[in-house]
Amino acid sequence: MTTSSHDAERLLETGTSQDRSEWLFRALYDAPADRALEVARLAVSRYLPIFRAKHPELAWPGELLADPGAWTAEHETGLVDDPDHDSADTAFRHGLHALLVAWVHRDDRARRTAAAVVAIRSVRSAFQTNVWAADDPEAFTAWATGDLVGARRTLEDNAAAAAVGRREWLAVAGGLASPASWSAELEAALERWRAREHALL
Amino acid sequence: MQRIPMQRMPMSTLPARNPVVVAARLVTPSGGRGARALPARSSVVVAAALVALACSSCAPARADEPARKTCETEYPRHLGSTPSGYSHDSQSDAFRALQRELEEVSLEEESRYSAGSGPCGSNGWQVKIRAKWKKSGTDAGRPASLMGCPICDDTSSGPKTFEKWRISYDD
Repeated sequence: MTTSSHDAERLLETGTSQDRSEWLFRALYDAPADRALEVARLAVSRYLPIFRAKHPELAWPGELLADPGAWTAEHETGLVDDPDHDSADTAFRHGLHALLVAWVHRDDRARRTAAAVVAIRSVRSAFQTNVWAADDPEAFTAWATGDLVGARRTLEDNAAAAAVGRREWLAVAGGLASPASWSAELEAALERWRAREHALL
Repeated sequence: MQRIPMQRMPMSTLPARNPVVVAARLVTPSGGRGARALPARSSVVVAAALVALACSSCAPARADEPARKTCETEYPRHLGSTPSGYSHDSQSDAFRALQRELEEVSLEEESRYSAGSGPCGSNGWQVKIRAKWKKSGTDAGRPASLMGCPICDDTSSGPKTFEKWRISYDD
């Protein structure tokens, strides 16, 4: 196996979000379940300080991330039914949900891997949305409210969001071994995931 | 497409695959003299005439003519066509369709967030749906998401933007 930092850099420069998702899928598919789940848990945990600063009264995400196994034993994939959040925090919640789905399906490689990648991708999106909303609130609000005429500056055009997205991608992907193996099983799982638009399986 | 001010650009500076150069070479008389036998200015004039005849829309825009707005110029991140499966015209339309399918629960939409996946990438929206059992009022999880994409269509009156949505079952 080789280090992935070069691959990770290359995918940032030339790859699409689908390319990056599939690279992560391949990198995590053959990893032991504990390793794949830990990579996803650490990635999602990176957003926790931001969530805590915005919602100091909500302790449950920290409890969930401290021990997803204990959480799923009690709540399965359920989250606390607290009030609606902004778009960034909603993406974080989706990352938490995906992490729990990965945990519950830890023995199903395809579902576990898809959910782990969705968790990682969602929390990266949470980081990016958070800085985009602060840096260009007008464009963010247009996007969030569906004002298509006003939505000319997207998240992908925002330099601050791009910088944060880069940092988060390298923090996760840079530490993984490059996917080296090929198997019919992996390709079939990937094809199934593509058909689901890289969402939860 | 970048427009070339043909009257001022010398032939030698035009790239070899430039259509103006190709056209100029096509009209050059055969017989061994080739394009180089013609004065550069003549080739350009003939080529310009051909291009003007064959492609009126390729003519350089007049200085006082406003640039035509298109989806490419105004909304380059929007999709140019509706992706497969995105059959609902709005978020509320998709939500109502989901509610009709899941009669035994009451549904509630969360905030829009970026899914970062699907045909429209981070420019698209995802909306998680919370469900509660109607009889007991207890939590029924998040059975589905609504996935939306911004689309742009070039029309005779300019770019037209709209949304398309689909339902995605998560559990």
